Amino acid sequence: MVTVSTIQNNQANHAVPSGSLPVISKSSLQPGFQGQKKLQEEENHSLSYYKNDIHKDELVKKNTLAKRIGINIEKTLDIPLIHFPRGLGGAPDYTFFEFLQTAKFPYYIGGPILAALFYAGVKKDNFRSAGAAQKVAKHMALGVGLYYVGAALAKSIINNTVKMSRGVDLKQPYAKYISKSSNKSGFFKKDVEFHTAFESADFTRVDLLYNEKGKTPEEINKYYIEYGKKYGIKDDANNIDSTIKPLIKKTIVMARAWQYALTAFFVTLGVGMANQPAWDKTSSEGFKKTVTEGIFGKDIKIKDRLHNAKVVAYDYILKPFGQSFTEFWKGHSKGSSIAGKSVILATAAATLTAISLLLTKTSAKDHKLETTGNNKIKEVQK
Amino acid sequence: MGDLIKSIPVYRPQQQPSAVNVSAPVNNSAPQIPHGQPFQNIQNQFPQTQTYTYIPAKPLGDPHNRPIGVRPQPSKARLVHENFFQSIGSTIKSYGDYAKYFYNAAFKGEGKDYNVGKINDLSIRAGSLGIAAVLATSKMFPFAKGMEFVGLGTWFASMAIWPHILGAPIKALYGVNINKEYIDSEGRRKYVYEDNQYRPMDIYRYADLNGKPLSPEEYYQKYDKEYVYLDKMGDKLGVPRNIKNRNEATMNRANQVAVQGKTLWMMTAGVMTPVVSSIAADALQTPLKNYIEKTRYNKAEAKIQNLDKKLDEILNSGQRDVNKVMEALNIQVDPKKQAVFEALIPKDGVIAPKQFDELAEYLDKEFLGSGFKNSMVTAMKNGSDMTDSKIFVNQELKEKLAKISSDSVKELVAKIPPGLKDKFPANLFNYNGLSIQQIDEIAANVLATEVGYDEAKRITAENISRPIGYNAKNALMQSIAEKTLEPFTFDKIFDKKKKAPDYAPVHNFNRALKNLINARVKAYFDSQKCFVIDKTQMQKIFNFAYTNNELQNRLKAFERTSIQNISESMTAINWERVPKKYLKSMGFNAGEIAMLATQDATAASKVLSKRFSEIVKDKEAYKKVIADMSKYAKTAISKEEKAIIQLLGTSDKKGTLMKVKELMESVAQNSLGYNVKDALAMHYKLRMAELHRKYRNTVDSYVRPIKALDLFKNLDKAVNEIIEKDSYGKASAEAVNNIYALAKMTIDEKKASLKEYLKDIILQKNDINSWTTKMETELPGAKQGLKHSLESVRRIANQVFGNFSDDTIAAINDAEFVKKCDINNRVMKTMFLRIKNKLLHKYTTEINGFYHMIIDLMNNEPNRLFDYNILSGAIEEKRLLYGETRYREVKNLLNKIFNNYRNIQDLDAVENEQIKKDVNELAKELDFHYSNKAISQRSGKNVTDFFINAAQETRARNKWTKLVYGLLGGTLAVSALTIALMGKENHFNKYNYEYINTPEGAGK
Repeated sequence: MVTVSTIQNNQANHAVPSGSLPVISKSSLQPGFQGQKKLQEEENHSLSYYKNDIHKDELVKKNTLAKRIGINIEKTLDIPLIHFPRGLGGAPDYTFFEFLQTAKFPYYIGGPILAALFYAGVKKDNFRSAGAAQKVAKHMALGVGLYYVGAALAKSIINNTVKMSRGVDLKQPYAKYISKSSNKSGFFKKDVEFHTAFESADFTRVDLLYNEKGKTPEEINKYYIEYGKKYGIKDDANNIDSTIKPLIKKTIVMARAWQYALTAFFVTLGVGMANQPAWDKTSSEGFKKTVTEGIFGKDIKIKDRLHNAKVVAYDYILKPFGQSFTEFWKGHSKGSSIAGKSVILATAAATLTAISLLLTKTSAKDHKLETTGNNKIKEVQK
Repeated sequence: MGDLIKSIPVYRPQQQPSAVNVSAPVNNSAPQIPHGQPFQNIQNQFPQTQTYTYIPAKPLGDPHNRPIGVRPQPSKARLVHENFFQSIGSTIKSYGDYAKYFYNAAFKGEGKDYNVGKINDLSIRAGSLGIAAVLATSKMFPFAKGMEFVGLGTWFASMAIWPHILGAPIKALYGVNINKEYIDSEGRRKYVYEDNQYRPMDIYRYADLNGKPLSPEEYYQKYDKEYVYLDKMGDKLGVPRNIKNRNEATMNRANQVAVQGKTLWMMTAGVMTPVVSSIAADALQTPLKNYIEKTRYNKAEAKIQNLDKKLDEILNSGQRDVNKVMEALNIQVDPKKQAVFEALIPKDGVIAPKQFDELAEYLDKEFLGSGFKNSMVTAMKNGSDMTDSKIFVNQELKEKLAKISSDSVKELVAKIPPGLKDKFPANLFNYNGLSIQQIDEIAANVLATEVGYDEAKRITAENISRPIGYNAKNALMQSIAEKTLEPFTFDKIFDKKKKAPDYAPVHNFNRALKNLINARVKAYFDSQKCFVIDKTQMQKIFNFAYTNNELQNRLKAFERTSIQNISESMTAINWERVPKKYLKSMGFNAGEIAMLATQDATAASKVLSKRFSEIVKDKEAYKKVIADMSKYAKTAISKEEKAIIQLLGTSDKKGTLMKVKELMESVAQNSLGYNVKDALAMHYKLRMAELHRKYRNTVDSYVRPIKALDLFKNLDKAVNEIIEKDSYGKASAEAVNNIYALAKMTIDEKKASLKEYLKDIILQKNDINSWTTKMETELPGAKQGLKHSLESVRRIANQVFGNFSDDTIAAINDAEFVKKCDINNRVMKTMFLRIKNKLLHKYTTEINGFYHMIIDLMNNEPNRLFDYNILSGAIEEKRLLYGETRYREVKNLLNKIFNNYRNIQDLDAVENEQIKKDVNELAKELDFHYSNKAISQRSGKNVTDFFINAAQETRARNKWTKLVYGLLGGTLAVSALTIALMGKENHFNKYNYEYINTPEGAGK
């Protein structure tokens, strides 16, 4: 029997500054689910009412691609501008979130630096070796690039599967407000941090998924009812949230596990494809010229610009991309042909397994629902 | 009272029902037990219905001195204190756990943030392993494959090591170990300073001064108060001793340092991981390469020696049947190839000429290589009979015959001289030969002789394809010719003006036409003949070709690891390493290396020339450079030599290639006849010559820089010898005038020009065109250059390819190596001079260089057989040119030289004269003409190219070194500075302490 984690993440906002033992927040001991919503509302209300500088956390409702890109740019810039200075100073209120943000830095610069180091050691003083070196450099750059593309693709496949099948948008950002006044070293620190609501399976911000403006249970649980439809649950509007929450948690765990697993497959596929001769047919010089002079150059007709954009997209990117896939599949030797085929097949198999497991195992149909007691709370049993 | 307190239920949330401790005495509140039954009884009665989610906490202990109330169970968290090997063990074990986490999360959706995070670690490693595997399979050679995994390993190793490198000074300075781990109550491994907002101070309670966790009992045996470790840490961090809550203050300060340290880690990891990984992988390259080279070579050597043994057995046994030989060599025909072969042979064994040709082509291409086809076809024909041609009367035949008739007429008519035209009937000139209808009639008549008139008519009318017999074929042939001639018989060409017929031209024409038609029809009939092949014989040929191919492959596999110019062979590894060592021993500075690497050959050779001149000025430096270079050359050459001896053998022991040759030739002779044997012999001789040349090239490449230095050192002497002495060392006044180009100069001008010239040619390309061009550049106005001065070429060649000077010999200090070099120089000289140039042709036949060479070779056992082989290869190459008789004569001459004159020192004057005669004769005979290009390819790498290549390699490496160590140094410096500033009061951290009077109070 899985019980819903009732720990409210709000507690993290008023994080424990020090202490000898892990502090168990009082809300973690609250046994019921029904009271929680009310309590949450009250708490939020009281906070924003009495302390003007503290706002409550809220979902970014306008969850568009542009918005997410904006948030990501901001988060990325925060790494060198905020988290590093604060970390180097050893700020007492430095959080685990900040540490995780800084951990992205080596991930993004490590690969390119390794490629650059490798390229530095390649002989390029005569024409032949310079040509060969350029080829090597191109493949390395492509390898690094397609590595990140593969990783992004793996994540996006799972995100979309989960979003379409369960309505759970793993990328759903929320703004977390941070009190400046309670924080002596507020310097460098912003008053808002962007997290995603489903980033943690332990402390999922399910509390943010209520419609605060709603008056009736149906209105308040509006989102949960929508989730319910996707999960295949028809339940009392009063209770549906507590039925859904463990399923959401399960979805998050499964989705994250598969995101990581698929990443391993897709990055291998990406690097394998980057290593194919299809990319040698076009020169990076040509690519650069077509982009800088053909598309963004001066005195070029719109028609030609469009044509050049098409050339860049098709001849320089899509065509070699497709060809490199077939070349990877075929291989140039027995070993590489086996490797190529097995990577491609394993990636496909893993993707299908991931999708089918997410579609079946997170569905309410896969769970036995049982009524426990008179209050009609339905709990989900595995 | 105690019982009462124990009965107070204390709740603890329980998430996993399985963790309910059923066997523990559960004492829930009494009123809940129906009818006073003990709770345990109920539980035993309904074991399946454990619906409650809470269990009572353990009793709180002595009620008298402990607070009463809600209290969590004591933490089971424990610091991790492991040595290096233990931590490796637990890392391996943890990956097993991560796999379990993945299974639970991915297939059941169970797990927590901690577990899911660990899956990421696992997947990053799995992905990297996948990438390494994919990249490794894309590489052709084992070292490149291996390096992918080495790179992967060093990447993760440096990722793991860097925080420890950063952590060590931090720990030494501040006592804070940022990598300290603990195992929490749920058994999960975590970093103590993972989350700055979560500070598990309790785990330090019973840690000793080294941070090792002890049980309370052990701890109290050593210390009388808790938290001694934190005390020590506080001292290192500079936390005042006489403050209240010192431990808490220490923890705060430790966390400050930890946050600082971990931020530094994240800032630097992106640079340091690739840098350290790159350095480590680079350091591992050489041992890995050596190891792979050695194991690969040993493996290949073991294989070829095994083959050698088997060849010996077969050769000794006298077994020459190809199938038996195959069996003995353990060669099985690849079923796919066998199927292709069988598909080329029809079941009835009857095969048309075109298909026969295809079969020969297939065997030639697939197995033996070009040049064997003719001998193969002969062997195939030996095992086949020809069938009678099969002719079918059908539309195709009729059309063919009509065409022959028409073409023949037209062809001959066109040849009639204009003056004779009036002697022929006019209708001949627009005659088109027989029509199809006419041929139909002929065919019907011919058929009628075989099947009767009615049947023939029916067959013709219905256009049925039918074979005809021998007589019918002949009749058909005759009828076509006669019928074609019908329109212009003799009586129709009566010359009315002369009142008498002139038969002669017409008679001739008719006869010619008849012959032509008959010949063409016959040729057509013949072309329809088929081969009836002997399948066993064909299979034998196929098996022979397959065996030969397979043996070639086995030999080539050995060559690939050793002497071939392909990646990762012994030769390639030598080429990668040795020139760089030469460059280093020459002591070029960075600017010179850059010049060598980036400028053209002329500029590069100037740099070289300058450096060479500087070295020869300093006696000690000269000695050292020569000694170093010869040391490197020896190792490089000896490896290749070993492989060559394995293949070609010495005079005592035949090499494997020789044995293969012997076996295959005798098998060919036994099963396939002389033609195939001869073709094979030619092929193998050429291969041997090729191998030998390869060896000579290698020696030449590595020895040339030494010889160049030697020449630079003795430049004056060399110039004097060229100008003032003849090739026998006698001073000769007129010799100087033989150098046409120098004739008009003063003696000083001559010397100066020649010096520059010699420097140039020894450093640059060794081919005659280049020599001539250079002569012309050095001596402007002397356009005729070297071509017109045979004597000068001879003298210059004697210097460039001459023996080492005494200084150099002393510096090398290895007589055997010196001898090897000298012989090689002479071979090179002979090769160099034996080119297609009239003057040089004459020169070759005049000098005694070849004689000397042979004498030296006689005294050098390992080389003896090589050179015997190369010479016999050269004779073999000219066999067709010579014809059989002359071929045998020349071969006998060679055998005579090599067999009879071994102990050359002991021979008397008459015998000596005889050798001279014989060798000169042979030298004349073997003056085969090569083009200049081939000669320049035959010589080794020229000195300038040698150093340019080395400089480019070195420069690329220097660039890498600069970048890598620059990044390493920079990052280390930044890290050191940052570490020095840690744990201090700053904008974020203000230390306000509440002091107490007695410093002893601090700590609790």
